[in-house]
Amino acid sequence: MKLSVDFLLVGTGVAPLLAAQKLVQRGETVAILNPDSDFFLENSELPLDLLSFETTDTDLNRRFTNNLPEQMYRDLSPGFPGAIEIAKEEDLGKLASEYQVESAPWIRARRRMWVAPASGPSRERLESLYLRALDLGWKPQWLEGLAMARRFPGFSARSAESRDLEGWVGFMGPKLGDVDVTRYRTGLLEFVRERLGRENVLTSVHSLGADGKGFRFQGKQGQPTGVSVNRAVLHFWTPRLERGLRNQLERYHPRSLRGFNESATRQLWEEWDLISRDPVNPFVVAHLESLRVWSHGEGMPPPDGWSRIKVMRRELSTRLAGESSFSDIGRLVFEFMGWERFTVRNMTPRSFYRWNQTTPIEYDAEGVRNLIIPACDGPLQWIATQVRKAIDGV
Amino acid sequence: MKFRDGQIDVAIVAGPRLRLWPTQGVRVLSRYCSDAGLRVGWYGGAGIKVRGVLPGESGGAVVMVEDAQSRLHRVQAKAVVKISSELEFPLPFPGWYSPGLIPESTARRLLNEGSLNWQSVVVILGSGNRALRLGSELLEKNLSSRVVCLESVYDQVQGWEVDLRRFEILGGKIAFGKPVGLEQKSPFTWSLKIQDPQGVRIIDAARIISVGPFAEDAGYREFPPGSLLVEWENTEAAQLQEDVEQVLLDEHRAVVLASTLIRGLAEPSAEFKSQLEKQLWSSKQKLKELESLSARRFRWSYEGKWLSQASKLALHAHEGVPKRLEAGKIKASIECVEAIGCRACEKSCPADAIRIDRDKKTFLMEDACTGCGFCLQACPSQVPVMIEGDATSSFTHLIFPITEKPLPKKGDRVSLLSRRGEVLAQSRIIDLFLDGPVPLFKVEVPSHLVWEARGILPLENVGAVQDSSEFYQERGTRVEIQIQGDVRRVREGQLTSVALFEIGMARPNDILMCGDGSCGLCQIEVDGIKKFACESTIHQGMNIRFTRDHPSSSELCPCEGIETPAFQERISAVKPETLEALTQVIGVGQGRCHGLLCRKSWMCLAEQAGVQVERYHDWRFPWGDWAIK
Ligand code: SF4
Ligand code: SF4
Ligand code: FES
Repeated sequence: MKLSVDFLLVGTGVAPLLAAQKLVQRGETVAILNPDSDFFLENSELPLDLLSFETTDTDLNRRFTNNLPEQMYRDLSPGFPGAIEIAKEEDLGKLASEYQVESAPWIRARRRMWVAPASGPSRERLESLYLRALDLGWKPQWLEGLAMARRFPGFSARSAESRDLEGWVGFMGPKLGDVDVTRYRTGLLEFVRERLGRENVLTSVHSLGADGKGFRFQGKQGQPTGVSVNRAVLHFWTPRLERGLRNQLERYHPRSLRGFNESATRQLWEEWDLISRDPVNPFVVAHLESLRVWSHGEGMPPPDGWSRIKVMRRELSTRLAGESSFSDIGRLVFEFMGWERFTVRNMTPRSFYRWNQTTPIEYDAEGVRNLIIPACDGPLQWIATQVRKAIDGV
Repeated sequence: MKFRDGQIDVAIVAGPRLRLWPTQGVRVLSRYCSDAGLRVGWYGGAGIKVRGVLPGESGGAVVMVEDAQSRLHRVQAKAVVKISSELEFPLPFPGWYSPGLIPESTARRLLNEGSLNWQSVVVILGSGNRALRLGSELLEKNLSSRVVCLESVYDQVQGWEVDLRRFEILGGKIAFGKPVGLEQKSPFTWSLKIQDPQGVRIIDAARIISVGPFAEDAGYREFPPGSLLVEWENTEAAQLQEDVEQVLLDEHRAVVLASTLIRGLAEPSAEFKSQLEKQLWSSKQKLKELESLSARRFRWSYEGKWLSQASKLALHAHEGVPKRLEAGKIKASIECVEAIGCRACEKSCPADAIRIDRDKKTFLMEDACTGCGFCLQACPSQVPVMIEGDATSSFTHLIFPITEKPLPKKGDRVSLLSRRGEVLAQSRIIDLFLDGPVPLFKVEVPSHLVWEARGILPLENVGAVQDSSEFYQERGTRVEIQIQGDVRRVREGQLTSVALFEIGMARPNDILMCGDGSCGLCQIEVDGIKKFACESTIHQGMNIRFTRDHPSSSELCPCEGIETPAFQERISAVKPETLEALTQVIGVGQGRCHGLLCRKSWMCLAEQAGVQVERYHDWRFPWGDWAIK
């Protein structure tokens, strides 16, 4: 078998799919190679920005503005082959309109809420964040005690009097978006497969590399295949591809590898799925120190909310599900939310990068132009923006 | 919560709902690994709950274990072998998810602890040894009057000839066909629809028991490949005699697996290595042989009611059968033609008259046999009979063990039955031996039937069924409780799940009865507090409410309410290539039971649709909903 394309895309998640879609719209011929056995193994794509600020001089205004549901819609819909719906709290319980597609990805507008113990360094950080949001005109709303706790997703009012809620403070920030990642990916994949034909969207490929006339790889059954590439090979950097890409760079462009090492920092998070016995407020995403908490489901939440809660927890070491994980979750659930017990349905590690430098790296391998596009992990919206920029540039 | 950290080379862990722990395979595996210098740990059994395995990014995994004192152990292991429970249900069909269809484990619990009436028909799905033996037990103890084993592959009874023989002699019936529908007809009757080449039939049954096997025994699989994370489905029986083949399969598989782990993790001495190589080679040979065994089952063939010429020849050529019958002498006939070799008969014989060789061929030293009858009692499949007298006179005698009450009486009239339960002739019991170590009875048999008749059916004693009242006799006192607002009388101290079945109020989500909350399905509210029905017991005045209820339907994944047609539609639209994709996109297996109930079903459907399922294992953490206080 011999393929011949303008662009050969190598990647594992949404990024190559989105790029393919854009390139095809431009009239280019494209093939996608995915070393994974499916496009669903990539788990570095997030529904929302976790807004985890390492430094205090984060450009808060830009981060908030970028994450507004309308902006998210503007970033995600070009290139997506179907409708994307927006869910607002005001619409809760309203009948779906006939134009709404059941399996479409939804962007939900949820208030961000920051909570911290009433004393200590966390409180100081919280206050400074509050003041900056205030200065920037985001109209944050300072909250304390029960009034604050009631808004927290999963908070149980059952024994609220006996708990020391005065020990916690917080504020309500803007309404930001979060999107259904799996639905977005599925919609895109279905379309791209149909557009390119299954023979041009290949999974489980291995032994990839440049050769004199273009690019070669081995397919699922181990058959060696050559591709002649007219324009370029694009590699989309996700954690699953990291090892291979580092090897490539080491071989063809060692200088830039150093740049990457300096510009990207890896973050490890634990994603916990807890089951709540009471319905959970579906329109708030809460930040409590290293935790992010929200109720989880796809599409428009049902009127009484979902009963699953996602807790994302940043792990600074590489020890997953260690003592500190359990004590953090325990403190959240028992001390703050006031549950008597909690049920864990799932725990999955998530890792992705924080990128400072996002410009593609270009190099020549055996006479073929290669581009590595970094930052194809993290919030889905960032990936979409990054891919758009990169494709516009080639 | 107390927390401990540990490190180990090989962790062997018990998955949820395991029937047996540790298995023989586990013992052999750990012996080889520790002989090679690896640190091996077993996690499972009483009080030890393995919560799950969290695969690491660069190989190995973290195993989370909760001990009896609720301490958490976080064990970092380089290799993990998870022993998981086998497939308990057939492919889903409309109505399968209902209290009418229960897995064998639940059926056994109900038999032991309940006083359910199974008197009408019982259908057993599957025709393996375990299915046949359960059927025989029901019949022998007079718990059911009719038992049908339903095998979905036409003319392919899976079990041993000896177990099939016992089942049929006891009156069990074999049917072929696929279950295609199940509906409740009355509180204690279900209608099972069966599809066979002739069309659709309906059997009304008191209960359908799902035993299997429903899939080929695949042994273990490493997933992802090269990760040293292994899932091993446990199909082994508790006792060697119950399933020799399976235990041997497991032993040899353990050797092969051990050598993989040792190669990956240890540096054993050259001597050990060469020993292991040798063992590995012979185990691989044995595995090949064993794995093809089930395709080579022995079956008697018939001409009318009589054994065919070929079968007769096979019988007389068999070394376990006496070659010379002598007047006035009793000899055992060990008609165990397949290479079973469970050796229970050999071990029981005080005269050393039975030998089973390495190829599991049975030999009877007929001159040594004293006719004591120990072997009759020892054989789990009741294969041996004793023959008295010589075939040249017009009558000979057959001697059978007395297995269950009611006791036969001298002079009772009986029908003589062939090996497949057909009536051959009438006869009578001419003697009882109740004083010896093995209770026996003797029947008179026309000499031309001495090699044909292998069972009896009492003619007068049809009232036998009533005698089973002894089994159903009231155990414990009844107390009043409230269920869903109704007042009911149930036995005190009984397991709530069992009580729900007894009074016909069991819900589909009570069918697993795991007894340790690992499936999380059978939740109820007892006096306002959430509990599991399989863990709580009945007490006077308790008030039970059902917290959640699944309708009995064709749902593929009842926890998440996903139906088979919707599942298939999504598969053809999205064309997922892996099961990970499938679970994400369609959401099957993501519910409360973590796929315990549904995983194998949708895996089969997905495989039919071309998804790669081979060797897949879902290492999701934790394995079941994990409540932390
Ligand atoms: S009847 Fe007694 S002596 Fe004869 S084979 Fe059986 S156990 Fe051995
Ligand atoms: S006890 Fe003897 S006759 Fe019975 S199954 Fe085992 S080997 Fe065969
Ligand atoms: S039936 Fe429980 S997850 Fe599917």
